Amino acid sequence: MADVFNWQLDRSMKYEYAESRPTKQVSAVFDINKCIACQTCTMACKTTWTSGKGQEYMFWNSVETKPWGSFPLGWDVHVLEKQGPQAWDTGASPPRFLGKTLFEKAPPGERVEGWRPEDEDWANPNRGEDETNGPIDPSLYHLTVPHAIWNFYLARICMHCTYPACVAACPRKAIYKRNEDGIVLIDQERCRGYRECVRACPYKRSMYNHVTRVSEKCIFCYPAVEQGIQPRCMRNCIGKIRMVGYVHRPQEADPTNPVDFLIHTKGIALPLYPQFGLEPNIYYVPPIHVPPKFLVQMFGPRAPEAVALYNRMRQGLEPELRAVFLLCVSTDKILTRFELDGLEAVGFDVNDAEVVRVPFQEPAVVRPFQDTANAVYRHNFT
Amino acid sequence: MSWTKRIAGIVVAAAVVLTGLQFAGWAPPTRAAGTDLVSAQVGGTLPATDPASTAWDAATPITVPLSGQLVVVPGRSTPSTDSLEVRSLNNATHIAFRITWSDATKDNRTTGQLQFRDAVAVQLAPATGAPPICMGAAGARMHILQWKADWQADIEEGFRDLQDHFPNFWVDYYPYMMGQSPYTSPQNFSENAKLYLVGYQVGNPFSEPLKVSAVEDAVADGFSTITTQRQQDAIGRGVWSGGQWSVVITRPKDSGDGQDTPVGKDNVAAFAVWDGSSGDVGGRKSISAWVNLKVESPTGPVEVMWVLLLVLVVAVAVMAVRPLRNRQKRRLERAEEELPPEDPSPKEARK
Repeated sequence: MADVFNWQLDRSMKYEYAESRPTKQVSAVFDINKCIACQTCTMACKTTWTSGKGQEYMFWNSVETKPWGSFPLGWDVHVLEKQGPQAWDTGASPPRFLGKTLFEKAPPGERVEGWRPEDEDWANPNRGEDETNGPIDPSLYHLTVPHAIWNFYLARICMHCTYPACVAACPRKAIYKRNEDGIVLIDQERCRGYRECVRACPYKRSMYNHVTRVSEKCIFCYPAVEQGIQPRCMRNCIGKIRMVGYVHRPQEADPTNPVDFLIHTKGIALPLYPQFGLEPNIYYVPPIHVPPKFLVQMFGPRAPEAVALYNRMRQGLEPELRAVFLLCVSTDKILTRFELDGLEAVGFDVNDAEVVRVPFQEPAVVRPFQDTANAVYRHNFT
Repeated sequence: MSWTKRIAGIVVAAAVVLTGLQFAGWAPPTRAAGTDLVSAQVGGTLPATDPASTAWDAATPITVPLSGQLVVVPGRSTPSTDSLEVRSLNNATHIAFRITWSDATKDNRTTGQLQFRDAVAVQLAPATGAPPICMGAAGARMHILQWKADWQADIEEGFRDLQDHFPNFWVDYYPYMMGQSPYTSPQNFSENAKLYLVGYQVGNPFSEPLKVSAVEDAVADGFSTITTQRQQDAIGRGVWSGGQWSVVITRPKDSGDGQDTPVGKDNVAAFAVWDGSSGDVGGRKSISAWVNLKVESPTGPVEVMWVLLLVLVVAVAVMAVRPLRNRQKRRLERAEEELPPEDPSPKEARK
């Protein structure tokens, strides 16, 4: 075991291999507040990569309803129970993790604390859909509209972690992290179907193919990424919740890079279960109507600050943040730089060429309800 | 006939008969006692895929204790299988191992998420220079033959497909698919449809639905490196009965494949057993220490000539010694008759 630095925990931790960060690291930010669980991302991925035999219940991208939904069944509660309660030093800035990661919790003879889901656990990809939970205000015993009762949708893909548990666990070294973009791949020629990665990945994004009898996972649509194009799940997002880009370490953060801006400059995008210790590279803007206790467990101690910042943006106090969120899924291109030009958000691709310009307010024309020229009433008058 | 002649005749006759029987493969060759695994030489064919053959009676079994695998993580602290029994036969071209061990469950499916196979492996290395650990090491390449219960089931019962594991499963469409649901592998998966079975498309032997042998012929340069060889030379077959696996693994002594360890008179072998029900997979296995593998040489015409020559020399010696002794005896008798009985000096008498 080597000592590596995990900036999301603000401390060194044990990992199977020495720290070796890629030249660039693909990343994405998902704004949970805008996700409607339409599953367009799920189907975009499914029809592209996992429509073969043996992949029927394999969803590299899935969207689950929280807190009760999950795919595979109970993936998060299983691993949280195994890891046990963990503490943060919230007095430190940034907060420092005081507990033990899944690598540090590994029992003797194991590399990672993990578990293997059963066939049935994978067979219900949208279990718990739209299940609601308690009232947002626990003192209320009557319903109000909207959002009197909270739930939210959690879109998930492989996290392409800086310290992947799948890479650590594979005794074959059949899983590797690409130096050019940090994408984590399972070599389909070398995999022998041991399922150590399925067992180790706490997010359960390595999946066993029943027919080819080897494990498979999200490939972050690397053929597209190599051409500066966003992955299928991202560019098909009709809720426009996703921002794709390249993330840096905090000390190298570029405030003009949309992803860095959300993660580092503003701290509004947070890792999912950072306490696992994998330094995941998919980030989430936490939902604003969920009890802070739940958010802190899921996104770490900075979740309440992120919620407060999001509310500031909604009040019109954060124009740059608004600009970045407007650029989400506004183009197929991966954006590496953004600008706020008056009341327009401008996006630049991997070659730093301007590829998109989005106004803060879309131009709109409101026509009279009655069309006097034709003496008819309009059904759609915007 | 004197006692000397009788004993000599019996010895010569027994030697000739035994040599003849051994040469014909009807008698086991002589072997050293101990824990070495002695591969008995037989004539004709080997029971290459038949663990129940009576031909195995000609081979002396040894019991090999197994321990957990603690060298690399993940492993096993305690073995799932305590020991195995192994015996070996060889003929002029091939060597075969029959390995038997107790296993309460027959695990020959890997279609489900939590299904792991029963398997056994033989690892071969030259007698000198073998690394102290399993799986070889950098610069100390290891030849590994692994029999897999699920591969054999695919061969004998047909590829275990999705509809076999999930009987109520139904699907109406796969991309580029020809034929009808539930679509069988690999018959309905050709050209573009095969692209969606990625492991199969790229030629991963674990994803191959039509397997030729239940034994994988592999090579390793240390932990994490095991790789299926391009040239597959091994065959084998196992039978599970009454809580026991009995598996035969057979390979050519010299396959002509540079990645195989040639089997000479002296090799070392190690064994590993996986119990699928115990979650054994990869390094989670029960392993043995190195066992000396003594391979008896085939009894060819040259060896027979040497034995016959030896027999001839013994016979000639016996025939030559006997007249000499008789002549000496007669001379003594004559001398005793010619000399007076009071002469005290036999030396003088012989003059």
